[in-house]
This record gives sequence, C-alpha cells and structure tokens, in this order.
Amino acid sequence: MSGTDVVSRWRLRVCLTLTALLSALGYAVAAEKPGMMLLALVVSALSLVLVRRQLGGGGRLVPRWVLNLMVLAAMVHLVLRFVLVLDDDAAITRLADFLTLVTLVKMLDRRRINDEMQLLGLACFVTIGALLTGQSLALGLALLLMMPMAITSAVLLQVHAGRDRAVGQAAAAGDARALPALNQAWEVGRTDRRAVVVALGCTLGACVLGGVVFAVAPRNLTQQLVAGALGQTAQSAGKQVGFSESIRLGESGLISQSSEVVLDATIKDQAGSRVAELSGPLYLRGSVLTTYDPKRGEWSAPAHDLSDPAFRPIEGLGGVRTGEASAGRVSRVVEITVRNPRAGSTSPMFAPYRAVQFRGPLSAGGPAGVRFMPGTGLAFADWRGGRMSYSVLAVSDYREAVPVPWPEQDASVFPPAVRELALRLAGEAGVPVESLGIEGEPGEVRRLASAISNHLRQEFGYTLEQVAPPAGVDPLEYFLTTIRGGHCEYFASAMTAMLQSLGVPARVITGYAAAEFNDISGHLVVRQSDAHAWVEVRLEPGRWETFDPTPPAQLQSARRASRSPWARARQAWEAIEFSWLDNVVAYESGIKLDMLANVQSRGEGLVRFQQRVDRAQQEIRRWLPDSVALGAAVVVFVLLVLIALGFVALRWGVRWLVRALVWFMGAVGARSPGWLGRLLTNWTRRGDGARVTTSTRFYADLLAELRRAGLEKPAWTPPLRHASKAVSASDATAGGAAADASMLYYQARFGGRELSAQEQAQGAGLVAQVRARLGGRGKKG
Amino acid sequence: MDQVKIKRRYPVHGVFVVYTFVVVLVAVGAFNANNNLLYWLFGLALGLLLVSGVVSGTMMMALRVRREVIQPGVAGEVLRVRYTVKNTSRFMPVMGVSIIEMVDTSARPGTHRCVLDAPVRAEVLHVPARSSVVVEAVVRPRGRGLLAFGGYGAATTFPFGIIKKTLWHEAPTSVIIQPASMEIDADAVRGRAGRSSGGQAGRVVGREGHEHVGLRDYAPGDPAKIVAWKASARLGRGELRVKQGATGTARKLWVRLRLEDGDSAEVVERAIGQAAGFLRAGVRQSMRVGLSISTGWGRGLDAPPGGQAGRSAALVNELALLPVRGDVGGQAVRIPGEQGGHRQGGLLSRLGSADVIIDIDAKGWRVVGDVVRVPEVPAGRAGA
Repeated sequence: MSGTDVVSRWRLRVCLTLTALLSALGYAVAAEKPGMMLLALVVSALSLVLVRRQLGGGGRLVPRWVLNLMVLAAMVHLVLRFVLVLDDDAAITRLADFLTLVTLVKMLDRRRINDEMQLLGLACFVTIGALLTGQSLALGLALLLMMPMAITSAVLLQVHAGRDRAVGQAAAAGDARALPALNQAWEVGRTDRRAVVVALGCTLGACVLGGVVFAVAPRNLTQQLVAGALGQTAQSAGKQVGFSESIRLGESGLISQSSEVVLDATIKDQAGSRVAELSGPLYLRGSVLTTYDPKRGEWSAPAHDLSDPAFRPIEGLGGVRTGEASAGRVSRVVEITVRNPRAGSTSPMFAPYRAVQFRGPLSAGGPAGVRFMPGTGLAFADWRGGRMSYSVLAVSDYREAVPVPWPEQDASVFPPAVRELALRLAGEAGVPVESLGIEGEPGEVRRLASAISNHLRQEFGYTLEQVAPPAGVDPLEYFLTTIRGGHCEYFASAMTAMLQSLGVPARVITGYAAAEFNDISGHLVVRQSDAHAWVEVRLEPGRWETFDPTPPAQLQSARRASRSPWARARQAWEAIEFSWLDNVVAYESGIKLDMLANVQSRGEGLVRFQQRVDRAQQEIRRWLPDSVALGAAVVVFVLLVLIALGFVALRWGVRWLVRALVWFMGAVGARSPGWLGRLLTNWTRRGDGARVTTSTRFYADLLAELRRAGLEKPAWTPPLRHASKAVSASDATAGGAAADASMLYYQARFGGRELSAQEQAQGAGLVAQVRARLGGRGKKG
Repeated sequence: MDQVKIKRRYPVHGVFVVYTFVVVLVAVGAFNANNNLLYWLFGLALGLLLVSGVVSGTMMMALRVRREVIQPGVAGEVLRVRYTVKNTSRFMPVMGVSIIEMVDTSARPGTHRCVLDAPVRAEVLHVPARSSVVVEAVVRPRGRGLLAFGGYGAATTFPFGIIKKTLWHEAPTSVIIQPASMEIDADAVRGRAGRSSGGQAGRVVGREGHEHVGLRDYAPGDPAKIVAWKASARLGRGELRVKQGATGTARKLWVRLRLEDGDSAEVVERAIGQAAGFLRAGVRQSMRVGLSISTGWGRGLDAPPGGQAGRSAALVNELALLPVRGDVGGQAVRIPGEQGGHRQGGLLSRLGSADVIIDIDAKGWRVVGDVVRVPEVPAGRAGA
C-alpha cells in the first residue's frame, strides 16, 4: 500500500470510527447508560490506535478468538437478560444494548473493506435502536453529527471498494503493471476530496427531502398497534421521580433534589402572547388525595378505574369542556410537554386547576385513551409511549359544570391533636365551628383555611430531612406537636387533616409548583425538584380554592434561579432542548397549521388543505378499528417477508432457497440426537446437491457405497473433503479411490463437460475399489 | 465511436432489498408510535434513496464507455481489456463505476471455449467532469480457446450502495486465447532425430543449416530475407537475385499432433501446448511451419509448412480453437474424405515436404528422422 493510499484509507477509517462512535454515544445518551458511553470512547480510541498500526503493515487488529469470545459474551449476556429478567429494561433496549456491543466489537475487527461496510450497517441499526429508546436533545445532536459522517463514509466506501476490487483483481492476475496505473487513476486526495464534496451535497439534499417528509407525513393515523416494540421507549417507563400519586408520611431520610427537567410549559394569554412572568408559582396538579390511613400514615386517591362511567372520555382532537368559565374572566392557555410520561399505564395529565378545556392532539395514546375525572378536575391518559403534549385552557374563576358530591370523611382517623389545633386556630380566627361542615359558609371556610395556612407557614419550619416518629405515634401528630417541621407533604397533610377533622371538604394535591422561567426561551421549566404538595379547600359545591401552607421563603429559595455562568449555560441548553422538544419531538399537525398560517397570502390555501387532511385522518381513525389496523400491519409485514423471499428466489434461484433449507435442516439433524436426527438426516439426504447424470452415475454409486459402509457424506460437506478426511481416516486406500472419483465428478459437474467413456469406466473402477475395501464393513453393519 | 446499442438497466440487488425492508419497518415504527424522530429517520431514508437515484442517474447520463480492440492473449498470461471512459458532465464527477464484461459461455460448434476463473472487470474510480480516462481489466485465462464477450456493462451503486444502475452495451466481440507453450526443447526444431520429450540425444536429420552456396534468380514465393540486395543492385537490371543456401530456402518444420479418443483432457491440453511451443520456436528460428492435427474424435487439420506472413499465428489459433471431447461439435465435424477416426492419407502424402517433423501424442513429442523431400503442394487447411 502506497503512502498516499495509507493516508486515504486512514481518513476513511477515522470517518467510520467516528460514525460508529457517535451512534454508540447516541444510544448511550438515549438509554442513559454512562458506562456504555465510556466503553464506546475507550474502544473507539483503541480501534484508531490499532488501525493506525495495521495500516503501517500489521495484520488483524485483535486475534480472531478474542473477537469471537467477546461476541459470545455479548450473546450470553443478552440471553441471560431475557431469560433471567436481570433488569427491567424494555426488550428493544436489551436488543439495542447487544447491537451496540457488537458494533464496538466490530470496531476491533477491521481488515477488509467489507468489515468497514458491516461496521457502517451496524452503526445505522444502533441509531435506530437509539431513536426507539429516547428522544433527548443530546441524542439529536449526536445524530446530527453522525448523519454527515455516515453519508460521507458510505460514499468513500463505494470508491474504496472499487479500488480494492481492482487491486485484488490485479493481484489475482499477477499483473505488476496494474498497481502503478491504479495509483495514478486513484489520484489520492483528489478523489477523496471529490467524494467528500459529493457526500456533503448528498447530505444537504437528503436533509431537505427528509425535512419535507418529516413535515408533511401524517400523524395520528392509527392507535399504537405494537406497544413498546416499534414505538418508544424504555425510558418512558416510570422515570418521574419527583412526583408521586400518593403521600406516605413517617419515613426517615433526606429528600433528594434532582434538577432533571420533567416537563416544559408555555403559558399564553387570551391574545395568544407568551407570558414570561407569574406572580406566584404555577401549580400543575397530578393527583388528588382525599383519604387518610392512620395505620400507614398515607394519603391516597380513590382507585382509578377508567371503565367507570364516572370517567368521561375526551373525544376528538378539539378537546372537551370540563367546567364552566364565566364570560370575561382572565383565561390562560398552558401548553405542556411531558418529557417522559409513564408508558403502558395510566398517566396523569398535569394541568393547572380551573382547567375548562383539554386540547390535543395527544400523540401516542390518542384522544380515545384520555378520560376526564369529574369532581377532581384531573385528566388521565392511557399512555402507551411517546412524549405527551397537550394544551389546557384555564380560567381564574372556575366552577365545576356538574358539582360532584363530597364523600363524607371519617374525622376519627386523625389523632386528637389535629382536631385540637384546628379548633384552637378556628377560635383564634373567630370562625364558629357551626358555620363549617360540608355545607359551610364559604367566607368562614376561607377564613379558617387561611388561618391554618398562615399558622403553618409562620410557626413551622421547612426541611427536606424526614424524621420517622416513634412507634405508635401518628406522623401528623408528631409533626404538629413535636418536630414542628418537615417538607411540603407534611404541611399539606396537616392542613387537610385539620380541615377534614372539622368536617370541611379539603384534599391534598400533589404535582408540580413551577416558577422557573427560562429567560432565553421564555418557557416554564419544571424539574423533579419542583414536585410539591398543597391543599384545595371546597368553599361551596363545585368551587374549590387553592391554599399552600408550606412556608414560601424556603420554597422560593429552593426555586430561585441561579445567576452563575454554569446556571446560565444550563439555561441555554434547556432553552435549546425545549425548542427541540417543542418543534421536533412534539411536532404535530397543530404546529404544521401554525407554520402554514405564518406563510402570508398563499398560506390560507395550505391551511385549508391541511385542515382537510386532519379531518380525513379523524375519519380514518373513526372507521379503522385497532384490530383492522393491526391486521393490516401484519399483512404488510408478511408481504414484506414474502417480497424478500421472492427476491432471494429470483436473484439466486429457488434452488438456493431449497439448498439453504436443506443445509440448515441437515446441520440440525446432524446435531440432533435420536429420531429427530435420523428423520432430518434421511430427509436431507435427498438434497445433498449431487447432480448425477449418465456420465457421473458412478458418483451416485460411490455415495451409496459410502452410505452402506456407514460413512455417509453429509449434505453440507464437499465430496472431495469427505473423501480426503472421513473416508481416508477409515481406510486410506478407499479414501484415495473416493478422492479420485470425486475429482472425476468435479470435472463433470464444474468443468461443464460430459465424461468420456474411459473416464466413466475409470470412475466405476474407483467405486469398485471403494466397494472392495469397505464392502465387508457394510455387510457387518 | 462504434454504434453500440446501449440499454439502461436497474437491477434489484440485495442491499436495496434490505434497505427498503428497514425503511418500511422504520415507517411502521414511526406511524405506530408517532415517534417524530423515527419520522425524521424515515424522511432521511427516503431522501437518501431519492438523492442516490438522482446522483447516480445524473452520473450515468454523462458517462460514455468505449471498449478498445482486444489483442489476442495467451493462456496463463495477462489479458488486458481496455476501456475509454469519458465523463461529459460539466460538474458532476463520475465515481465508483465498475465495467463488467459479460463472457458469452454459450457453446459454438467446433470451437473450444476459453473459460475464465475470474470476471473481466475494470474499476473506474474517478473521472473528473469533462475529462476521460482509460481503465483496463486484467485477467489471466488459464486455458486456450475462444473467449467471446456478449457486451459490457458500466454499473454503479454510487453514492451509497443502495441503488444499482447499469448501462448495458451490446457489443459482442471475441478474442482467441492461444495455448501456452509447454514442455518443449527449442533445439528440437533444428531436427535432431530421436530427440524427444524423454530427453534422448539424437542425430541431425534433413539437410544441415542454411549455408550460402551461391546466387540465383528470384522466384515468386522466395522470402524477402534471402534477397541479396547488394548483388541485385549491382546487376542494375531491375532483377532480384537471392542467396542460395544448402537447403535452397528456409527450413520447414511440420508439427504433427495426434490425439486419441481416450486421451485425458490434461494430456490433450499438454500436447496442444507442446505443438504451439514448437510452432513458435520454429518461427523464432525463421522456419516455415506447418501443422497437421489428427484426433480420434474426427477433428483434423492439414496445413503444410508455408511462408505466408502470420501463418504461424494462424496455426496457433487453430490449436487454440481445436475442440476436444465435451465441446459442442467436438465429434460432429468430419473432415471431408475421411471415414472418421484418424485422418492420415492426405497428411502422409505431404510429409516429404518438411525438413523437420515433430510428432506429438499422448506419450510426448519426438523428432522424426529420414524425411524424404517431395514436391510441395499449396499450403492450406484441407478439409475443415
């Protein structure tokens, strides 16, 4: 290999290494596997070092047996993960893990140009695995970098493959003149540069076309048919650490504060302008807890049964009205994108209270999977994967459309200290207990709630450290009487308990209290650490008011955005990430309509067209049951398989398929004990590939002789090899005769000619020799 | 440029099928999960497919390929097939094109076919816009025979290896692959009787050498190399004089190839290689060469030594094309006047016209002595 050629090949390999590395990094980011990331970096560096050495005249990068061992280990690991269920990763994640490991092994197995092509193919499959696993901005950036690399690699591979073929052919022909001529034609450097220019042009063209397809491809055509396999995602399986649908008091430990972004929200006013400042935190409700269990110290919500008629399905993409808004009241539209909703379960749709309308489109679950729970103001999505994006119309004055009766709570479940404190505070506030209760006076109820809230805010401390109460002591009592400090759940629980002990309808709400605006993008960032609990008190039937008894100073200090450079950088990153999620990950027909509407004059026609398309999609969804869609998908898949088989048959002939089948069954039969082995071996005997004609009849006789002698030729073993090894091992003379007969057969079979009479006679003579040597053995057997 | 019929073909190949399969799966995944990144990947995959088609289509539109005349080859030596590749595009370079010859393996009666164990393939790595390059396919044919090409295709999977496009040029042609010279003793053509492939020394037969004994008038048919130019010039009458040697003219070598029905293919090919070697050795020693072939399967040739230009090449070509058993027509063609089997009569009557006769058969070759010179008969291939 000339010096310039070495440089050229080095460039190609670096390009391919980076492609494979970026795909592996993309997957590691998507699957949140830092170990895999580190491994990919190490293996890539090692691969480059070894490749450099190989180009200098070395052989294989890593011994073959080491590579085989590594692949075997990856396979065993995969099988064990499936069989023993070592982790809770989704199947697609396990497969993608395996594929990534194989790719890393392949990075150490690069000798010929075919190895490089295989590496590129593996990198592409790893990329698909990454896309099925996550949708983060980091993954998007990795793909953005990988795409031109992969395309450039593919283009360079085409040229290098041609050169390798030419070199191989010249070497096979022993042509010393060819190589200098090739090097001249190669014009190393110039060819590479032209190829890279072509690759960049192709990348640009593919991106434009890909963008168009991305923009116009219809969404929400069907329900998700195959959950978790072809859709996303492993990561969506319960990654909401901060928020909890229930509260359990009395546990010890320190609550961790994770800054991971859980959801993004954009707030718009009635005019459609973005709101970038709020007077207080935006409370996004996720769960309503009404019942206290003193034994476990736990607040819980009524069990969700979506089949219960009490749940109203939200129909259509236009949304549903869940309450009544007074005309002229201030309203807001909150657009929410939940980054990692729980897949495969009922997921709450976080929304501010006083939501009168939920509006889709709701990507993966679809409208049919979303229900509204009257009385709580909560909406739930039967989520099967994908990001969750929706908008909520909220008003400042809200009243339930149909008030739901408040189920009377048992006040005796609370320790006496709770009621005592509640009575004391009511007395201090001048609220007569008689004016309270289910049908209490709204003004008095509000006064009492405010009094309790203020008392807790002023007299109690906020801490993230949880202290477990002594055995037999109720955690609420312990909080109110002994430690007088805790986190938001204690405050909300205590206030709710005090109100309920006096018969006032009150409930604990868990969700997120968001107050951090991203200065760059102007959207509200909601992190895991924003998880919060607060209280809603019913003032009158159908009308609830929010109270937050947690001391605000501590809460605000926890939520105050830092101004450090690092915080600014993080804010910038999150702004880009929000834009990525909002415009790419959560792209849907609504955004499409907005884009089209922004196009002046001609845009109206396009908007109308898109609206018609959306209506058509709705009709399709209405008329296309899931079973039919699933059936259609199965039919498409079967058709694809048939087309692939048909292609193989057309390309290489039906015989090739049959041979492959026979070979496979023969191999299985040879390794199977008992009747199965015999059955398969006998069946495949017919298809041993021998093409016996009149002039090669002796070969059929030879096979029969060998079979009789117990030295049957397996279908997948070439005649000469069988004669030279198996037969010779049994009888050297017979082996020699069989080898000569095989050579004669080869002449007829592959030489494309009929054997002469003399040759046929010679073949028959050789078979006779074999018979003479092995015949006795056959009779004995 | 010759008028060559060009057809565009778009053969489906494995990579395309796999690619399509994966793209469909990605599309199903995207529609199934409404995963926008999968939509993006699907769009990119479609875009790549389209770009690939446009780039390779544009490239092939501007591609002009012409096959140069192929020089005859010799078995075991490199055969070069050259192509002139021109890129007529103003901007787009041509890259990654393979030119593949389609070897016509169909049988031609009475002709031995040369079989290659490697494709005849040339690689065009890069042709800049508005320029041309010459590329060559090198192959080493192992055996003699007629190598026929049905045409050649310029195929590319550039830029991504997904779509394959072929410009098929219907330009049938053929080239004779002459047998390689094998296992001969070049000195034998000097006529040492008894000398053979066994290695025995022999005595010189026929008349010795080409000793100059005088001048005589030129006679039609005398080779130019024996013209005595200075003597003719001195005569100044416009007449030519030629040098008269002891032999009177160039010595004559007659190679007799006798093949039996039962001879194995290896034996036949070895004998043919020996015959070719002797013919070439004879030509190198300025001898007139002749060839007679008699086979047990009815093929034969009777070409007495002659002095025509290119005769030796023609005789070696006859050896190259000599059909053997198994070739179509190997048995069917009969030489007129023969009753099948060996063709002897016509040959024996002409043996006397040679100075050296070399017999070649399955056992090897040997120089035959005591040749009686008889009047020459016009050279040519009798019968066939």
